[in-house]
Amino acid sequence: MSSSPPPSSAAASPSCPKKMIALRSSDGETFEIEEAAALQSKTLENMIDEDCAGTPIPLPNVTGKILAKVVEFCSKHAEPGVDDESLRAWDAEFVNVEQATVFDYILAANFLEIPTLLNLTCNVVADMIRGKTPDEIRKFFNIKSIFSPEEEEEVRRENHWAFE
Amino acid sequence: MDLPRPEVEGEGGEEDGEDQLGRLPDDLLLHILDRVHDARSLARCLAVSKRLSSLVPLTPTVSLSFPRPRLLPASSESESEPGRWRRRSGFLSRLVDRFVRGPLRFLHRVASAKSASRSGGGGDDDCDCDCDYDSRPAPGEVLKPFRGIESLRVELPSCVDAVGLNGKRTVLRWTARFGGEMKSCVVLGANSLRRREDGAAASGEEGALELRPRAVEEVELEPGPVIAEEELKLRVVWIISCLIAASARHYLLRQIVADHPMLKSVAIVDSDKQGKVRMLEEEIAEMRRSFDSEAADSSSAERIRVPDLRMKLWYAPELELPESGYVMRGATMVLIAPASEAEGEEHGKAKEGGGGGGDLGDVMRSASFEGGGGEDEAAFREAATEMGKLKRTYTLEMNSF
Repeated sequence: MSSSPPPSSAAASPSCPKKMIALRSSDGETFEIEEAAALQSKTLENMIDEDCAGTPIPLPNVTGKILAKVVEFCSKHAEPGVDDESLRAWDAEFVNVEQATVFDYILAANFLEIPTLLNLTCNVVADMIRGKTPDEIRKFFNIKSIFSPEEEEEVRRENHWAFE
Repeated sequence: MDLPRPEVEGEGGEEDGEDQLGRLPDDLLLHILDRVHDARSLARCLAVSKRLSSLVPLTPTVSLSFPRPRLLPASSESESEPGRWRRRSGFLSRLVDRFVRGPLRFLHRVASAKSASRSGGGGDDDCDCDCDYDSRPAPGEVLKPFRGIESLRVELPSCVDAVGLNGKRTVLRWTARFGGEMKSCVVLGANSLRRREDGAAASGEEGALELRPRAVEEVELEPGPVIAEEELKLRVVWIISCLIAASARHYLLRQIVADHPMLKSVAIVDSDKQGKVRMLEEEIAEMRRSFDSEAADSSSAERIRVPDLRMKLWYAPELELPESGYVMRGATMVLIAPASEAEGEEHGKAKEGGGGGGDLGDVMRSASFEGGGGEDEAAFREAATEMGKLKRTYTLEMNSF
């Protein structure tokens, strides 16, 4: 890794082209990501401006397994010359994973402030919610209902149109 | 009733047994709910858990749509028809019945915020278009739980398509803007809209009522064609239908604006993309101010009175739309504004009769047919631009009704 003098903190464009940023996950794994890809994360963008030296940025909220995928996502979205349709298809494949993993992505995208990933994953969950009955939702998301039967009955009655 | 459902496959992850939504903080969960949009799904979430039932009302973006109405078995010739719209033979009355009365009944029912009785369908109140409106819930009631709505979209079911000349579907779009009362309405209609063929124009199926453009030597004196009386009558029907539909939606909007204090933008569209009424933050604020200053006029339970109107009409018997690749026959554009507003520049433009000057021009430009989607979207926009260039316009006035 090259060590260049710290850039001025104003611009968001890569200060050193092809510069690799090092990230460390909560479980101690280290990953490298191109600066251009890292800038998709507002959190990383702020951190990069401050310190252009090579020490890995610690991310205590993200495990290695998830961080690897996040790096993959950001790198793909920083790639030039990818047309919209194939990117969409790639995104669809990216979130075609276990439910728990989707939520891992959501939390990581929220922590790292990656709008594209956050939108993508939240849409996935919204799609999971849409069109299901309350029982199905509870079952799907493993929600332990703490409604009493009377309370639930009342809600259903008030919004009966939605339950037809 | 919940039906038994097979195990969820694919993205389902209920094997691990953890409440995934519980891992998210409230603001993230609200972020997700904000993307569901569908009011029905969101209302169901109210019954899922206490947490969801406290978050759902805060959802900023909601979209309410009604599934396509079931068509009842044909019982089209209904016997006794009280009221103003007596049945007459002829396509004009059928047009009015389908276009106006059906939607109007529906809107009357929904605007009166009473939950529709769950009759077995149809019943005594069926409209001539044979659509099953009775089991539809009232939007006002449906939206009650969503106190925090900021952006609302309502999609109203469409009746069976309005019938035009020769039994072909009428090509019609309209859009209106409201503040406290109607600010403007733009109607764009045509006898037909079809793809442009290279070479010869599409065959003339429109029949004898279509006009030929004026002979060449008269072009300089009178740059525009004259509308035949039958065509003009048809267009007046269009205009009235659109105005009635618009003002019925206005009534619905007043309810919605009153019930939802956080509202910043609302749109009511037809599912067949014909009509669109929109309000943005400023207009909503204007409407709220008008609540205070006027006594509730409940004389007309169905809709709000339409004020005196001034209209400008453009007409082209045949309009080429090269950019979008369509041809429009009998193209008509009408720009409607309350007489009080239109007065200002009409005086100035009395001699010219030119198209789209001053504020009316701005209204035209801002009248957006966008968001409807569909390939004829671009055709309508181009048609609006092209017709605005026509020199000859007609001016109509209509008394308040």
